[in-house]
Amino acid sequence: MDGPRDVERAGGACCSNLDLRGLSCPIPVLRVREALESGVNELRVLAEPASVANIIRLAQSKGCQVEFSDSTGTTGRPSPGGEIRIKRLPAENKRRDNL
Amino acid sequence: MTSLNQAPVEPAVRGTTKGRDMDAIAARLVYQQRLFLFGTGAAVGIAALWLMFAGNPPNMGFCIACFSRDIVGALGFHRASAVQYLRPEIIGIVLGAALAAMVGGEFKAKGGSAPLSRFVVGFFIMVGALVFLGCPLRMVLRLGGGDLNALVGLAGFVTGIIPGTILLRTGLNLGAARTIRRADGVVPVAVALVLLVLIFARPIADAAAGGPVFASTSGPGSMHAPILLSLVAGLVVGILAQRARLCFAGGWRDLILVRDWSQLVGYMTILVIVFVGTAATGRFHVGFAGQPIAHTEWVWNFLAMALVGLGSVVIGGCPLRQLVLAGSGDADAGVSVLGMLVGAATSHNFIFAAGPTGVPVGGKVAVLVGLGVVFTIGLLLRGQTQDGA
Repeated sequence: MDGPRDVERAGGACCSNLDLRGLSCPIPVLRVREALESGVNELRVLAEPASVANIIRLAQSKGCQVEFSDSTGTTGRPSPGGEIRIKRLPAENKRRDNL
Repeated sequence: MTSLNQAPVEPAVRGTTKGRDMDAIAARLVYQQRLFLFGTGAAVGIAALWLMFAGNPPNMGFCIACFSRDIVGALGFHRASAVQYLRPEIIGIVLGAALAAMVGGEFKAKGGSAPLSRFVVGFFIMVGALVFLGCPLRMVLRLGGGDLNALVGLAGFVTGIIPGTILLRTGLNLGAARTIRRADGVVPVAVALVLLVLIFARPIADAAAGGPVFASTSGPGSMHAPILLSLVAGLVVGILAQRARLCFAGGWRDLILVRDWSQLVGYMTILVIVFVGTAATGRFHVGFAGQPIAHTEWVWNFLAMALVGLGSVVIGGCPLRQLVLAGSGDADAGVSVLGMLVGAATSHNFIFAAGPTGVPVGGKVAVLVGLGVVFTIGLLLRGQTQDGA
């Protein structure tokens, strides 16, 4: 399985960017999980509306802090798609799996 | 995937909400989606009951597979005279999804993610659905009406989803779709509008044959709710299903893959509403034998829905979700729907489709072949494409 390449380049430590637009479900969620499990501490994700909530739920279940900025939709109105910033919290703060 | 991995992310993100409490926004988004799923499930359940009371076939208020098949028959692409009718529900779903996507700023024309493989998988999903006699949505409606054959189907459906999730875990990826021209993504909407005109115009081109547009005078195709009610129900379901991203295959897949049960909320709500509705009106009959538009060959109910489950995971959504995506500008989902339509015509022309008396030999062979073909497609489409998409 191909991991996000820059994660490997960064030695699995720092931050990573993922563009998950155009991928059909559930590949975006799997990519984010893969990245988080490979030890990335900070992740910036570009996602389409359909995958945003799924990615956020996954990140929260992994005990990460999630920030979200919506991008402008195709008609100029805000849509729920956009950029998700995921930060891994220190282990002791980790929320229990709430799914 | 590639280019943006190297460059810092800066593209189409405008109008950000930086400064506000983003964690709260994220949490609200998740909560909203679950609420939407519950509301959508309730609306679909009520719509299905209403359509059934108003004339749609028993335990078939809605069925994406059966109704698509009826449309294909109405247009003369198969000759099973009992299942021909231009079902306004399907047209309503596509138009409703398009409307919701456009108003919500989510209409995005895209395509190029393994279209022909999706066509083949869509074809076999329909073959499976017509051997079981229902898409995942009708399976839930049948279950709500007490049809225990649907329970066997559900077991098969989930069993088919499991190898699908294994394929996903080991790298199944149909590839990223690219943005295409808006006009290209609008084609399914245009087709739906043409069909809408045909519903009211009912042209007869071949007077001797009496069609097209054909309409059954007996059998399930002759049983239907009033056109406007069907159309409005379809529109409402299309709008809500787009907002809630309702998908039964996705529900089980996410439960198995990432232990996320959210998506199942919608379908569980449908099940409960239909159970209550049929019980309250004396239509709830529990058992295997004598169920409306169903057969009791449990091996084939199981395997047929396993094929539907596996196929739905491979192409990223059940038949309802494919219709909704097609309406939202996803040309690949549109190709899946075309595969489903051809699969429906083929199922009746080649006598694959089951009936109340059982499954024809051709249908059994087709389900087994379908399982092999769909799994092979899943195996072959793992890893990344040459350009890394």
